[in-house]
Order: sequence, then C-alpha cells, then structure tokens
Amino acid sequence: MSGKITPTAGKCPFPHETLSSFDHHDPDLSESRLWASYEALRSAGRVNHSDRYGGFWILSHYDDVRAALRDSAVFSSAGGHRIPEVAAARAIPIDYDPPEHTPYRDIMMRAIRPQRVKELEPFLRDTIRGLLRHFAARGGGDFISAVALPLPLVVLTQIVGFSPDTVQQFRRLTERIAATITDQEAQLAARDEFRATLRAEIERHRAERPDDYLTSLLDVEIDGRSLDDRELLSILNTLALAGHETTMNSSGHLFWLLANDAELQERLRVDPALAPRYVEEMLRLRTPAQMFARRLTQDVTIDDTTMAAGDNVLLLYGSGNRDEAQFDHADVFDIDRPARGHLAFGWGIHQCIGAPLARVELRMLLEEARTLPPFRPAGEPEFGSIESGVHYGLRRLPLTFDTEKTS
Amino acid sequence: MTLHIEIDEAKCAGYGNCVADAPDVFDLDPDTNIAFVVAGHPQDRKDDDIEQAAADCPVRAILLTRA
Repeated sequence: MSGKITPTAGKCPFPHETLSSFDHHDPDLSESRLWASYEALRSAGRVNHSDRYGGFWILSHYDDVRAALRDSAVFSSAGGHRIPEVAAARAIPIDYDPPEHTPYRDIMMRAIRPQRVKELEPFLRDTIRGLLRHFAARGGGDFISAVALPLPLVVLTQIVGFSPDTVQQFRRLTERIAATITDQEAQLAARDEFRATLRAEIERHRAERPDDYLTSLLDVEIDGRSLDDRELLSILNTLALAGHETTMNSSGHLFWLLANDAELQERLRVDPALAPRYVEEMLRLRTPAQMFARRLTQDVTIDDTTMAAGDNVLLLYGSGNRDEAQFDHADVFDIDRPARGHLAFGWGIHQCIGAPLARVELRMLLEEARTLPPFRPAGEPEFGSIESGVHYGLRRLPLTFDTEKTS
Repeated sequence: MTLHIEIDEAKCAGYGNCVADAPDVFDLDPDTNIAFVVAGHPQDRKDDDIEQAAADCPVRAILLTRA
C-alpha cells in the first residue's frame, strides 16, 4: 500500500468494517497506512466508533479534537490517557482533572519553566553541536541511536537530576513497557522495574541532596503536606518517559524530512532564521504524540451521534493536524504556511509542559545541522507503530554525508 | 466597557495559542518568544476570541479586566 491515497468519488479505500475495528495498537499501523487511515476516518464522518478494547469513539477532525481538549470538564482525563486504560499507571499530571491537576502541573512546570530553559541554552548548544559533529565526523550512521535518543537523555540529567547511568536504563525500560501495553500482567512487571530504577534515584537524592530539581521535589508541599512516594514516582515517571520519547521522535522526523529533500536543507543553510518554521511544520505534519484518550462525564452529541457519559474517546491529534478544513494541502510539508494552532502539543490545560524546551532543542538541532555537509538517506528508514498507544517515530534512520560538497 | 488585556511575561512560555485564537490581537516576540498585545488592535470587537485566548493559555498568563 502506498502512503498517500487519493479519494475517488463513491469508492472508499477503507470498507466500513475496517474503520469500525480501528486499532491504534495494530503493529501494521505505520507510515504506509497511518495517514490513509486518518483520511478514511475523517471522510467517514466527524464521529467514528471502534469495537476494540471494549469499544471507544474516535474524533479525527481538527475542530472537534480541539473543542474536546478545551472542554476538560466533559472530556475528563481522570480515566487515563490511554485506551485500554492502564489503571495501575495513573500518571501525574496527565491523568488528573482540576482541581488536583493544577498544583501537580505547576510543580512539574518548575522543572522546565522558560527561565530554566534559557539558563540551559549554552549546555543545550554544546551538547547538540557535539552530538552532530561527532555523527558527521563518522560519516553518518543511524541518526536515531547516535543523536535523537542520546540528546533528550542527556538533557534529563540536567532538567531532573537523574544520573547518567539511570538515563541509560530509560530507553530499554520504555521499550519493555511499550511492548506489553495491551498485556496487563506483563505491563505491571515492566512498570515495576522502571519504578525500582526511579526509587533508587529518590533514595540517592534523599541521602546526598544534590542541588537539582529532584531534590526540590522532596521539599515541595501541596496544601501543607509533602509529596508521598507514589506521587514522586509518578512525576519522575512522566518526566523520564515523556521527556525522552517525544523529543527522540521529533528529531527523527525532522532529519528524515531534511534528508529526503536537498532543497529544504539548502534553504535552511541560506536562512537559519527559518528554523522555528521548520520545527512547527514538522510538529504539525508528523505529530510525535499522535493521540490521547479522554472519558466523557456527560452525554455528548455530534452530528446526530450521541456518545454516552462514561464512554472512552480517542482524540487523533495527528489526524486533526492533517485536516484539510484547517490546513490547505495538509499532507505537504510547507514551511511557508501558518502552522500555528497545530495540535502536536495538545491544547489547553494539559498542553505539553515540555514544549518550550522541545522548541529550543529542535531549533538548535537545525541551526547546528546547517553547519554540516549536506546529508541524505543511506538505506531504508524503519518506522515504528503507535508506541504505547501514543507515540510515533522512526526506529532507525540511516544517513550519510556528501563530504565532497563540504564548504 | 473595554476589555483590558495584560500578559504576565514571567508566566508566558510561548505556546502561541493566543496568536492562533486572535491573530490581530496577540503576537509572539520573535526574539524572546513571549506574547505581547499588538499595538492598535481592534478595541471593540473580537472579545470572544480574546476570552478564548485567555481560556486556552496553558500557563494562565493572560489576564483580562473590564473597565
């Protein structure tokens, strides 16, 4: 199957049965099928229903996804952000509604507030430059394992205070959790292992009290009480997982787009001030966090379809970001478009707390990449499926440099 | 009754939702990525968009008062 389908009048490329069993955990739901599936869902109507995982509704149009994100009282997060729900893994802050959500989020924002990102800029610049120059000096290789993954892991040591040894464990542990997401028992075992790693970090910080964010968490109070161990573990778990997977996938998408388009690279070389536009348009078109779930607190009717209180709803950010009703020629990477308003970070009270940091890291990756020789694919890239029911990116991205053109 | 708009620059994290909601009222400074109110923006209309922008701000950096 090709990645892009052209809808033909009266002939739906996806029969209704396929849509009614839409499964975001399907290992085949990847580059060749993902975008076409979204297009089929959008064409079929504003509301779709899947019979998988006990049944859930799907919203795929830009306006509907954003309206749902704005209405956090009706589209509740307290039932978890995944379908099926992983009850044992209720995550702070994303699986909470106000008022509990508000202080949790404020505490976490402190780790990555804009002033902190500003302070970190020299460190980020050095790290990014070092990783890219080393990668280019070796003539390229797999961009994901050489640059896209190490970057956010190193950043976590600075942002949170995890040790370098600890962050090295994160990728393996994350993959184990992702591989067991629809198997409750294996899932719990994988999460236990992750928690043990985080628990060791909490103990180290209690004993040594280094001057970092994790130590500050030990002293923070909500309504006059300290955070308990379950809360500490959940906050660290979110920072460790959300803090590396999304940035890794964003960097991979960005360099995959550039590697396949010499003109895009050249334009950036000539005008590095365009870097933020590249970043926003990549986020729109590729959407590293593709979807999140909500649970209805009351009946909601859209286009004569009533979704009942208690029902689960899957919000397809990645589909909303390719909705032609919102973005012209939505399947095309076009840095000249006004991409603002995309849903890649979500929208409203749960909008990604790491967005300011991610935007700086991705901009710097582009600014530093333009000082390297031109690069291109060195073999087939390997795309993942929707990991943990949320994330989408490349597993492998082999690149090579045109060293003859070095200026 | 005019709507007075204030942006808490210490809170603003450059999400830009306000610019998407009311592009002729809000913009982001290209250097600091902090939101500002566009000079001479329409005063007597677009209140709905401005209120939506304030509601959409993930860090609650837009303060509205009626005078």
